[in-house]
Amino acid sequence: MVEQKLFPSQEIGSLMKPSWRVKSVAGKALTEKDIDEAVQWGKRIGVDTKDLVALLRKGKWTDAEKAKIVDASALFGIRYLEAAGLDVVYDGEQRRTEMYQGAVEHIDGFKFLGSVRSFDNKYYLKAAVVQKPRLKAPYHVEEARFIKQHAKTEFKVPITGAFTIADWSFNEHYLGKHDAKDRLSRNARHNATRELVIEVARTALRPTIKALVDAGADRVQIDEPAAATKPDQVDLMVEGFNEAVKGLEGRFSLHYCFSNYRQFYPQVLELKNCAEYAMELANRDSPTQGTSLEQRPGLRTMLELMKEYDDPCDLGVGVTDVHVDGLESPEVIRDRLLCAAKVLGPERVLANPDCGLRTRSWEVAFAKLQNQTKGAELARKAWAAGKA
Amino acid sequence: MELTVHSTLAGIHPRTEELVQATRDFDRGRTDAKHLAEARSKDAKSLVDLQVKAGYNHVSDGLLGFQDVFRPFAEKLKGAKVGPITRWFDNNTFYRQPVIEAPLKHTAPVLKDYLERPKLAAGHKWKAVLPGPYTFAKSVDDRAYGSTAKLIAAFAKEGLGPEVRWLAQEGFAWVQFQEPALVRERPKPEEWEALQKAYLHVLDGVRITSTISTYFGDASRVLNELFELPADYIGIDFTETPLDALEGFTPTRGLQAGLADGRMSIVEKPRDLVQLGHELLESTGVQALALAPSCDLEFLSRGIADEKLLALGEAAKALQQEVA
Repeated sequence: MVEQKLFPSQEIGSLMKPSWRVKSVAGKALTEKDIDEAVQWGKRIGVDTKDLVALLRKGKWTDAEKAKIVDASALFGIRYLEAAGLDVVYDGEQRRTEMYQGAVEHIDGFKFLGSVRSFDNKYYLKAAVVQKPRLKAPYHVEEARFIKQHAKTEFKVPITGAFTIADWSFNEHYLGKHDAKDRLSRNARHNATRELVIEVARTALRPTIKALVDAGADRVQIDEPAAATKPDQVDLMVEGFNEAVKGLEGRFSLHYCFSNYRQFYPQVLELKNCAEYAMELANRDSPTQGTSLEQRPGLRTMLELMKEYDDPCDLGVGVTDVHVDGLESPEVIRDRLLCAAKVLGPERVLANPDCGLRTRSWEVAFAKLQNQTKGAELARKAWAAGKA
Repeated sequence: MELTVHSTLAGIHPRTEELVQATRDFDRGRTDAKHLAEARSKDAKSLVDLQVKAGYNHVSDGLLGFQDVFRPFAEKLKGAKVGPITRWFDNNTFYRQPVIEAPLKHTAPVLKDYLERPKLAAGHKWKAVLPGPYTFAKSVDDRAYGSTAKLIAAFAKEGLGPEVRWLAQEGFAWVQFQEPALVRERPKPEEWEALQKAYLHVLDGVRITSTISTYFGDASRVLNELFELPADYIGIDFTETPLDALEGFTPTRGLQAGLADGRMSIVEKPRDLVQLGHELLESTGVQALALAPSCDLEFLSRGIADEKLLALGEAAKALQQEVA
């Protein structure tokens, strides 16, 4: 059981999709390099690629064959994380497209309006809520069943949170009840957001999370990146989380990142049925060794807040920066974990990357995760030896 | 003095799906810079035509050539470089944060290659949109000046000053400075002072109408200071500033009223915008009113943004007739 092991090692969600999966699903020709990538990684992570290679070499694929290729990439994701030594795995979001669109497509009442720019020449499709949201059918369930069938250790499924779905949508249905003058007011917008968050959490997320747990997911992580940008709406994020996991049994965690963590307190103390925060911390931390709070500026604020507010949640410490290729040494990772353990107690500390690893190559991400595993092992030994 | 009402865009306009695809194709090597430029020009022309159709007396190219409001300066000013992707206030939109590595120096034209106006037909009054010096100073990674006030002065001298003079020479009739930071992080007294001097430096002696536009925050706490800045219009975002915040406050400049929500897809009815405009005119006694989006429209899809553009135009025409 992972819970009995100090400093369990986990991931947050995404991995880069391999070129052989991307190209084949898009109906494009593969190169020998693409196929060789599958073969070489298969050898490294213990996946037999004979059937996959034969399939990839076909050059043209039916929908059923593309589905098999996606299954293969999901298996690669699972074995990749297991080979890196993680205690809690997933498939690296190999079946998913984008965290907002991928969720909204499963909910009635949303209408996509067109491309909105994220940055430079990158865009996303943004939807308006035009009717009361209603779940079409629980989603990510087949993904969870596949992982259950193949994973050798515990697995976790990430899901986009209700607040993020609401915040990243145009809230026409609820805000449209107000006249033009009222719609200008922050109060009206706050209330309309609350209505939408609760409805999405109750009618879409909760049944989906239940279905994931019933399908065998040991853990479900609710991702709320939008909460980082709206300090005056943390209460809505908390309400959405609580509504989404209400009455459900399982281990539920909250992932948020790249934010001023002070703004989450004290509202996050109202979270119910939340076992863990999985956080970005490495991005802002010192790259040198040391286990004191002074030596760990990236962790200090969050740890002091948790102590100040007597926050009982476990903490998934972001120990590796996902936006750079440079590797954190196992010793620095060890010290990040030990620093947290000295404040919270070792049984409440987990190791994870700051966020998903999809912007890193497989080579770099694998090395980072291996170091994460080594760092966690070093932390266990140091703690057992009384050398924290 | 005759009361005037007009409509205006307030910043970056979203791209058409055709231009979106062209930019994606360019990134993936499926098209070249020439075709991308043609796609952009076509988009800009359609946007300008729409503004003319809607009765706008000044037209903007929607900054379709800008990846973010700072990019031309980050790429062309000596001493600056393009830095990491950074969230733009509380939006799900990002900019590349300029890094100021050394004292800024204007050594070559900055805006020339990013504007569509030179390529399009003449005969319009053109509006340009630029970063304001306070927002610039607060948004960059400053490794050279060590003080917001100093960076404000430097950017005004080396960035905005030469470029605003160039815009005026090129025939631009209006310039808007984007200053959301002013209503998000209140300037210190010395920063207000530096900002006042900066705008005086940039605008002094230049034949161009100007707007300092604030958004994403409540302007009610800084109204007095805002309206002392030497611009012809001050922009207020009324999705963040209560409408009655200006009650009893008599603006000494024109008011650019951000009444069409740039972050919500519900298209305001022209009649509602007219009514809100009447309320502002009655409560403030302002003599020059611009009906505008609350912020850039880039947070919307192009179709919705264009509908808001039309609604503002129709509302401004109606309001002008009703108050004449």
